[in-house]
Amino acid sequence: MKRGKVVCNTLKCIRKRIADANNISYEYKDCSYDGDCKGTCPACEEEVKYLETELLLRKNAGKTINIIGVAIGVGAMAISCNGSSHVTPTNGSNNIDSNTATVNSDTTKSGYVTIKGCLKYMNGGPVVSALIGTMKSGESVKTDSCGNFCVSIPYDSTLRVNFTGFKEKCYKISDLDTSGFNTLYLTENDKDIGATETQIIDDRAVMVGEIISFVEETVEGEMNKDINKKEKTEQSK
Amino acid sequence: MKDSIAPIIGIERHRLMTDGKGITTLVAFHGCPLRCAYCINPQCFNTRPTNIITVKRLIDILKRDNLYFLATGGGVTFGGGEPLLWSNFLYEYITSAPKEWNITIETSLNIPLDNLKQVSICTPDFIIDIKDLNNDTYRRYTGKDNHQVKTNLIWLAENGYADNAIIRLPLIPQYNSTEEIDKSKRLLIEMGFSYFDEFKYRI
Repeated sequence: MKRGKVVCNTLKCIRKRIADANNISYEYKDCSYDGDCKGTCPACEEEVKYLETELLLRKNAGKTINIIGVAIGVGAMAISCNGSSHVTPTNGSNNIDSNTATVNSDTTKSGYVTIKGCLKYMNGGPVVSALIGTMKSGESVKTDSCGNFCVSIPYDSTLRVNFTGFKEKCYKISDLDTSGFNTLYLTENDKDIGATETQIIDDRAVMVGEIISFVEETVEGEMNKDINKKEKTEQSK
Repeated sequence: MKDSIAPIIGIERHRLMTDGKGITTLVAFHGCPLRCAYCINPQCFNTRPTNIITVKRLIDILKRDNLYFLATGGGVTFGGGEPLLWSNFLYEYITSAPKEWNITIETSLNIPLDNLKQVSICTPDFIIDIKDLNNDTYRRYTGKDNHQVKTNLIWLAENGYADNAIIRLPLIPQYNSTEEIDKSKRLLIEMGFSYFDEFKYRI
């Protein structure tokens, strides 16, 4: 799936979580646009405005608004699951945290099981960009910047964890929690003393901080008006 | 509000877990003290930047994604170029923007310590690309020394910011090796850093 569509689906999922957490009637429309999706569009932005309006009405009526953290982990799951399964909203669920970000098991391919979790160092730090899965194309994902992953692999296979400088770790499916969240660790004993340069390979699609497309009208039009209005004050380096 | 201005090379909304927690908007600034051989945003060197933004305008743009930020723990990532060259702008943003929006600063740390101190008041998350701690390697790759980077790393560690930092340890083709990365990592662990991102630069 192209990045724009992944973003679009993820944002829909977040909107649904916010709506559910606040008892707002909301069903996102299926998008039939087949072109180059930028992740959002006027129709999507209208849905955001609708939610904002509904939330404001509830706030003004003295009701408690639940937004903070209701969709933590959704982005991670979407990225990790891209290509193997997809994130779907959980109807009526509130108070969702990263450990309960949900992949609908109904969407897992027949004969496959979805494993969700987080890969950490023993000190608790996230292991970023480790490869997790069977190591076959389409059955492996990389951990995100928080160490989270979500991968669908065949029932009869082994979950393998590969990361630069560490020996491969293997887990039997029976040793993993297939309905919950698995926290896996890389320890000192897992270090591969003889690791060579060729073992560090990471072809991430988007590098940290890399601008891949310029955004909309905001960077042109109105900003340039500011140049005329204000004196350019160079800051100290 | 003073409404400072800064030149930017782009704003990109809806980035998923690429450079910060949750849904983030990347704001990339012009200007960088380094000249890295494999720079991913070389447009930041343009001597005549065309896009100038005010803090107020930036906050207005970010507000569009307020719901996404709040729901996912996301916010803004300042990158570039070198965002910490624009510390006055960042300081004003920090003191003006909603506190619930997370702030991530993607930096080389090759900037004056005062700039770093100025923005650290809000305890942002840092993504620090140190290139390589070996000064010869660093100089060959970036054209600059890394003494200031080391000074700033020590300041971060000594002032309790180490756990807010992910240190990027790139394998830089033709410039360093896994052995050098390991050496850098060991030194950083001694300083007090725990979180590392090891990867290979794309050429």
